[in-house]
Amino acid sequence: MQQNGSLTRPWSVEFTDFVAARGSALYRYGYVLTGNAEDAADLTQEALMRLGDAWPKIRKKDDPEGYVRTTMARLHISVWRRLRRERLVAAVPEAAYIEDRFIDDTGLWNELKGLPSKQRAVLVLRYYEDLSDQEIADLLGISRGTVRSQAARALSKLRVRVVALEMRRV
Amino acid sequence: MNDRDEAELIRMLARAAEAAPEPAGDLIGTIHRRRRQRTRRRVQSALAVAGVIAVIGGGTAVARGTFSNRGGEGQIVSKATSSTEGSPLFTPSPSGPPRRAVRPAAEVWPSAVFKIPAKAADGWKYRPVTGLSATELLLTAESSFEKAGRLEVYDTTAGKSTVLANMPVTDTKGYFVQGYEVGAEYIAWWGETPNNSDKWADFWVVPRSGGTPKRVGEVTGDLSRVTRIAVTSDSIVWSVTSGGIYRMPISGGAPERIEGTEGLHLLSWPLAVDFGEKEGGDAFKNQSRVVNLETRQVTEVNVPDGVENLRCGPVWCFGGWGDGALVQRLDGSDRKILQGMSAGPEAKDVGGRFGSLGSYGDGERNADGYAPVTVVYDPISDVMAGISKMDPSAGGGFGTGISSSPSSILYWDEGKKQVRECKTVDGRILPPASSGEPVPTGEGTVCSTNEVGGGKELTVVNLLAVPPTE
Repeated sequence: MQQNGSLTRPWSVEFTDFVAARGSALYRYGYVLTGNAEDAADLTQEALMRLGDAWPKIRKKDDPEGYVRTTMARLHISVWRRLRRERLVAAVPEAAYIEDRFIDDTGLWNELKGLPSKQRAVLVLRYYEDLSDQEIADLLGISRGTVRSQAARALSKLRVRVVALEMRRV
Repeated sequence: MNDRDEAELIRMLARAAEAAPEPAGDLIGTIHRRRRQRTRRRVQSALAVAGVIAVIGGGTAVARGTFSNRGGEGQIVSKATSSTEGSPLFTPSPSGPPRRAVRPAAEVWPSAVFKIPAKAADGWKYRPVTGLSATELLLTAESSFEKAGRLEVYDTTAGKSTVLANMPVTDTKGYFVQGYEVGAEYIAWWGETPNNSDKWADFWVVPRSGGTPKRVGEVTGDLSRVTRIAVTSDSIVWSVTSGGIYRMPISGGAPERIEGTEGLHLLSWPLAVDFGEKEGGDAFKNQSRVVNLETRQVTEVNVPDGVENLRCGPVWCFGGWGDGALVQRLDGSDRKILQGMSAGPEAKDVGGRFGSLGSYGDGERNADGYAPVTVVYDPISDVMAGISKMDPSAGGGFGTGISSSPSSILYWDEGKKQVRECKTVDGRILPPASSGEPVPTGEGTVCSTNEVGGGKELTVVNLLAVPPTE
């Protein structure tokens, strides 16, 4: 006898409501994490499916959106890229690209795409999700020192000065 | 050459999120489809099935965890049979007196159970807030999820609903109302934009008799991290995640901290407690005092050793005790252990009397096959009433009203069934669910649980309509 992963769980209408209300925000977060719409859609879908699997654990935290965001960040820097190639992507955005100059006119968005996924994730968590370095460390399962070195390396590559906001970091 | 600064990076990321192209497909449909594909690929061997309980954060959790951009609403709890991973909280008690047979609320308190339509005549979906009296229910009507459009009062005697107020359409993008509160003269609510990083919230009131809603004001920064609200004859009152209670005059004016409320969390006006209900870090702490903000009276709670997550209201406290739930008055008198029950985070002192005991064991059934999803306990009469019903094949669910104070309403949709379907297949033809899992062999059973029906009628228990105990 063998056990093949978890069994299926009720697919609640309330979960559907959650996706309806938060899906767009999660997708936007995915877009900032991955840098492109197709990966963002797939990352969001995958994380939401895992959320559906993990209701019993979410219970204690009472924080499904936090769970999804954490899952997305972890997937982004882990095996997810490998996995997603095996899957049918059902919802590829029609507008597959946008004019980058609408985002910034200095090329920063494009340079961000050139970063390794872990460095990019650290920057997104720090500057988009507004997390402290300790929170980022806990979330990604790495040390705070690694968070700082990854961030420093990334910021240096992007030629971003670190001055004004350094004080708030714990 | 470092020619950019961090602020530029922050602005760019925010702009990128705003400018993200909309996905073409519909996200829900895609997830459903992918899940079905995956379910077909999952092979379930015939393992013993343990009872497991899932709380569905009702769409949006009220918790303010690591992330700041969150919404809130009442909890929806659903129970499912299945799974090998369960919380130890819900492991059935190996010993102790047998669990009581619980009868459905409709039998225990027939005068407090009502059927109401799930939707208004125009198709907007009702969401119960709380009972206004024994015969009146406050509902919101929503055009889409959490986009409240109207406040309505449902008269359970007449069996019909009247509009109390049309809620204003705000032009703030991503605005969601997060909580309602019924005061003596006003009904209040607050809203925020949970999906962006702005620390911002606003407050509204409408006379309890109805009329045009008035915006009281808005707050930013830490003051906007609202946990619960209250409304008095002249002020909006609220507490924030980090503790502390604030007020703002309804007639307009600046917010101010109520003196002496450092570290306190609002429960239900005029009561405050020392640990909030929803903040993650406080989840298993015991409340130790209840403060009346009007009289400044402080009641110390008698906290027995070994109790967990003790949560108190005006009269009663409910907490976890080993495999059971503990119930007592604030001073520790009338203490009782209810074996096989779980106080859970949603245990409350509703109206100074009732505790909604989160989870009823492992779905053990009465002789006639009835098993509630959860129970409401009345410590005065020592009576339990079953809420919702476990489906024989899968599970069940219920919701609680979305008022800021503990709601007097629990509700469920009896038409909604969770149907579990299984079939036997040759495992070898199925690919593994993901690369990390072993390739299935031999014969296996593929199961899926689907929710069907519902959407027509809600069954509502209004605890304000339970007859007083002698």
